[in-house]
Order: sequence, then structure tokens, then C-alpha cells
Amino acid sequence: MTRLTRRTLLGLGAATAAATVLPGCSGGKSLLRVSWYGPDPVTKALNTALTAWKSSGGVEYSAESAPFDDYWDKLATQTSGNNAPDVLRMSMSYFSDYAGRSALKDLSSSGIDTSGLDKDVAASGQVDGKNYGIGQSSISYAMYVDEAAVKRAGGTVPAQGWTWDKFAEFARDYSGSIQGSYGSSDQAGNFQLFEVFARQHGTELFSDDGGRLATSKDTVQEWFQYWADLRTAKAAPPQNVSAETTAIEKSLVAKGKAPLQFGWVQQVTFYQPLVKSPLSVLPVPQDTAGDLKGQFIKGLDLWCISAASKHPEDAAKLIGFLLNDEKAIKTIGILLGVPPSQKARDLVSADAGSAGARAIKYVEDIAGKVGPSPKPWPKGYGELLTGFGRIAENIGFGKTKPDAGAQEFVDLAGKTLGQ
Amino acid sequence: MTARLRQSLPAYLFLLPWFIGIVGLTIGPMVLSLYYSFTDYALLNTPEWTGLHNYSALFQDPRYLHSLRVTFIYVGVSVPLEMAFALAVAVLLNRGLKGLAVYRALYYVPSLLGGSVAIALLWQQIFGSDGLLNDVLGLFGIHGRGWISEPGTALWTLIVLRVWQFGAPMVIFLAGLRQIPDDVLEAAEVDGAGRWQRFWRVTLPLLSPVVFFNLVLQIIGAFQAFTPAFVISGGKGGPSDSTLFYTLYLYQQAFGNFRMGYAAAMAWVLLLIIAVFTGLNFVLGRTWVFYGDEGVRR
Repeated sequence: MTRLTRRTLLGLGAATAAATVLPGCSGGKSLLRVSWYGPDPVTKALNTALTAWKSSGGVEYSAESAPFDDYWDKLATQTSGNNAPDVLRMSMSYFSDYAGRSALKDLSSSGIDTSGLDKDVAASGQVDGKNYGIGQSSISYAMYVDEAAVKRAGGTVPAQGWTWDKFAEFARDYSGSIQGSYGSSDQAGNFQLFEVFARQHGTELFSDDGGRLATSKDTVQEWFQYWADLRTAKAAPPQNVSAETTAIEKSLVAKGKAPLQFGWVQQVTFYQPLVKSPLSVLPVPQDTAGDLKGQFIKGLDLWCISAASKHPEDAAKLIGFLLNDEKAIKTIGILLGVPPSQKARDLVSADAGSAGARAIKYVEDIAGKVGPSPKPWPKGYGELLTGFGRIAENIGFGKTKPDAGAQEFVDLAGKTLGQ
Repeated sequence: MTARLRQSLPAYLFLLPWFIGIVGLTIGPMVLSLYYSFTDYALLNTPEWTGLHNYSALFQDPRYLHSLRVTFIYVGVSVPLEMAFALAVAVLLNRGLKGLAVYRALYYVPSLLGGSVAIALLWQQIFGSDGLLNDVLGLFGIHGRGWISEPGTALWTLIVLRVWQFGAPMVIFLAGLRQIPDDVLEAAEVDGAGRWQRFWRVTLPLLSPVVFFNLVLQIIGAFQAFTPAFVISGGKGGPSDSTLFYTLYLYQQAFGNFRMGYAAAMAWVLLLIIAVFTGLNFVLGRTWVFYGDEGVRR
């Protein structure tokens, strides 16, 4: 037995210290870090796609995933600590915050094959002539309708679209058809649906340079008032009921207490497993029935490479794989949104009758009828997104009135934008 | 190298990890955070010096003032309740009950689980509109409500959660009660003092240093409360900002809105608030904390 001298002990200590300080250097082999946000189905699918990448000769990787809200807290910390993952899923909600602060790599000459991608989507990550991200999907806002429930209540939802007034009328009529049911869930705090509403009122949500709010206080107030009236009429649930419907499985449509739900088109696949009858995918209500100019189709989620990545080539290869490989396309389906290439859409909608196929058909149907895509959402969008929801909630609980709430939001936007 | 240095070198080497820890993990970050509090620091780019701007902006921010109010209510209500509970249970457990060790362990468990996410999730289940509490109320024909989804009651469920975790101060009270000499209590009894009189006139004064110790620790802890509000409100401090704790708002500003400088200023103001409260405790403590040796001096 060797005697443990003080010197060997110190040596051992030094070696341990070095090993703990330099964890990344242990193997000398590249380890690609990939991270994304999304609910469980997204995580499962991406893990499967990554396994396929590995077995087709891709490098070692480690995967990180989190729900949407937590993801951004974590990514902000990692990025500021110079420890961001190599490949990351980026939402348009935070894209400007990161791209504008040089946290993302310019992918213009990365060699990622985007030839098959729809032009709009491929270009959705461009800022000032640089390409900071590649669209992984194109999405549009939608309404999912449990038509069987609507029929049972003796109502109809027009497939070609309806006005907000007709929608309110429907919601009032439906409410109470089943005990404790509501015609609609409360969407007052839904900033993304409000963007459509704002565009229906003739302006974009933000100015072109992203420096100010383009929609007016009156439009915000009208929106808050609209939902306040629906709550008063008991056509939408009271705020304390809405406050408990944050998770998908707790939503009113999943519990059979409302016949329709709003969301980005691909989210229909998250709700469908929880609802017995098929959900149809339809446009959201309009200012003039059938006029879809308020809506838009856009790549709102991107694959990005962090500026500090030490393995940009492998990272680019992985993104190319996720976009173009048949196995990856099939596993991901429409979980990230409608796939951005014709080839991928054909592969996915082969499974006719699935919620995914209905979502794809919806986007194809409305493609020629929607308005132009807005510019990337500006810096500070994330703060406005949560602020809008909070103000709507305050109105719902009667702590403030629609006009005061609208003013509060306009003030918040003034303070937050263009910083 | 002098002989003396050579002799003390191993000691310094062994102390080195601790030095690295205190400098790297405590002093360093504190100095940095003090610096950041005077800057506009958006987390992804370099900080820009703005002087006292963050500090003056704080007191014009209605949500900041609101978070202060929520936190003061939380501290002001939960700490006295928790202390009273802990003391009452400690007095009960101090008697020679059978299976005493088991009870002590059982009462202590909640505070071990204290800051955990699991407990906060459990709380969500209990106080949700279709949760356990409403089921129980339903048995008595009372129609409950969504306790954590209504701004009027959400903060109170967090206060109940804190009071429920009275185990840590209770164990310290128990230890304190054990220190009170039996002969003093017996002498009081011989002199005709009833149970309540003995408690108020003998036990409590002799226990006052322990009460003081618990009070200081609990107030500091309550000001720093974060996890339960974060988990129960999904990080938002809702419904309607009713559980927007100071630390939660700080976190939102730092990591949600990229305002690290602002958040750093908030952290230093919190440090100041806690320092003032602790200092106040020590000043006021002179009037009611009784140390045994003072009796000897008199």
C-alpha cells in the first residue's frame, strides 16, 4: 500500500480542483448543446429526431428543454454567462432582444440548405441584412372548434369566417347549454390574438422600426371592453375561472366547458388528444366577415446558433438535418408549426384525418387571403406580452377599468419599446 | 521564504478553498451587484453607468411599491402567527407525552420540506377550486372558491403555508424550554402561581432570548421568501399581482425583462430594509429580552 503523504494529498487536491474548473475540456471531443422550449410532445419528438441525427453520423450532443416561460429565464442567464447552448430554439417574441444584442450568429454563410424552404419563412430571421435564424415552421393564428359540441347545442360556426359581433352572439347563445359552460374562453389577455384585432383596425401593432406602438389606445380599450362585456353577459367565464385554465389540460375546451379555443395553428395537436371529437381549425373572427387581412402567416420560431458557439459547423449541420431530413420531418410533424417546405408538408399531411393534416390544410387555405406579415417583433416584446396579460387580468378582477387599463398598456409600451 | 511562512503555508493552503468560495461566490458577486445597481445592464450587453437612476426609478414604479406592500403584509402577518404557533406547539410537546419523539419529528417535517417546489405544488392542489380544501368544505355544505386563483385570498394561502412550516422555530423553542430550570417553576408554583401565571411571568421572560433569536431569523427569512410564490403563481406573482413578492419582482425584472441593473438596485434596497428591521429588533429587544445573568447583577 502506498503511503498517503501530505504532498500526494495536495497533488490530488489540485487535480480535483482543476477537474472541477474545466469540465468542458475533459474529453476534448465536441459536445453539441441543443436546447428548446415547448410542452412534452415537442420534447419527445425532438429527442427522437436527435437520436436519428446521432445514428446518421451526427456528433455527440446534449439536449436541454424547458417550458416556454422558464426557457427564457434560463437562456438569458446562460447567454450573459457566455454559456449559451450551440443550437437553440428562438421565438420571435425574444428574437429582437437576442439578435439586437449580438447574442446570435450570422448564418448567411453557414451552408445550411434552405433551398426547399418557403421564401417568407427562410427570410424571417433577417435583420439589417444579416440572417440570425432560420424559420423552422410557418404559423398563423387560428380557432379550434369542437363542432360536435356546437351541434349538440344547436349552433353553427361558419367555416368562412364571421364578425366579432356574430362571435359574441354565438358565445352568449352557447353559454349554459351545458351546466357551467361558456361560449368562449376569455381571450382578453391574449396579446397575439389582439395583434390580429389591431390589424383589423387598420394598423400594425408596432411601428416599422419597432420603436413605438402603432395601434391606438382606443383599439386597446375597445378590445378590453369587448371581453369585459362578454364576461358580464356570462358568455365568457369570470376571471377566477380563467385564472385556473393556464395549462392545456385545464383549458375549458379540454374540460368540455367551452366549444372553442384560440392559439397558434400547430397547438391544435396539443389540445386534440384531450378532446373526444375532432377539432376543426378555422380563422379567428373578423372585422368584416370573410376578410382575413388581419391575420398573417409567418415564421415565428427559428433555429439559431449562439454567437459564442465553439462548434458552429456541427450546429449548422444539425439545423440542416432538422429541416431537411425525412426522419426528422416525420417525427417533428407539425409540433413546431406547419413545416416550412413543401416536401415536409407532403410528408406530414400524408396522415389524412390527423389534427396535423387539418392544421396544414388551414394554412394552405388562408395563404392567399391573409395580410402581409408584420416585421419581427421588437425588443421588449416579451415584457409587453406579459404586461398585456396582467392588465387584462386586473380588469377581469375589477381592479381597473378598460379605459384605464388601455392607458396603462400604452404607457408600458412607451416605456419599454425602443430601449 | 521565511521559516514562519513555510510553517503556516499548509494552513493557508487548506484555507484556500474557503477563501476562493467567499471571494468568488459571496464578496465578488456582491461587489459586482453593487456596481450593476448603478448601471443600465440589459444582461446581454455591457453595463452602462447611470448613477443613481435605478434607485430613483424604483420609487416611481407602482409595481415595485406594490411588491413592497405585498411583502410587508406577508412578513407582518405570517411571522407573528408562525411564532405563536411554534411556541404553543413547543410548550405542548415539552410535556412528557408518550411518543414525544415521533410528534416532534412529524411537526418538524414541513419545515424541512419548506422551500421545496413539491410543497408549493401540493399547496396548489389543496387550494385550487377543485382542491382538497373545497372538498372538505363541501362536506359541510359550504361552497368554496378558487383560493389561489382569486386575488383576495391568494396571499393568505401563502401565509398559511408559512405558518404551517413552524417546525424550525419550534425546535429552537423546545431547546429553550428545556433550559428553564424546574426549580424556578416549582418555586413559583409554591408561591401560588397558576399555570398561566407561570407561563407569562416565568417561562416567557426566561425564554425571551430564544424568542428574540427566532424573531430576527424569521423576519429575515420572510423578507426573502420566493419559491412558494414563484411556483404557485407560475412565476407571475398573480392573480392580479396579489402574490408579487419583492424577490419575485426582482427576479422578473432581472431575467424576464433584461433589467439586471434595476434588479441589483432592488437587491440592495432589500438588504437595507432587512438591516433596518434587524437593527430595530436589536434596539427594541433591549426593552423586553431578559438574560439570566442580569438577574444576578441586580
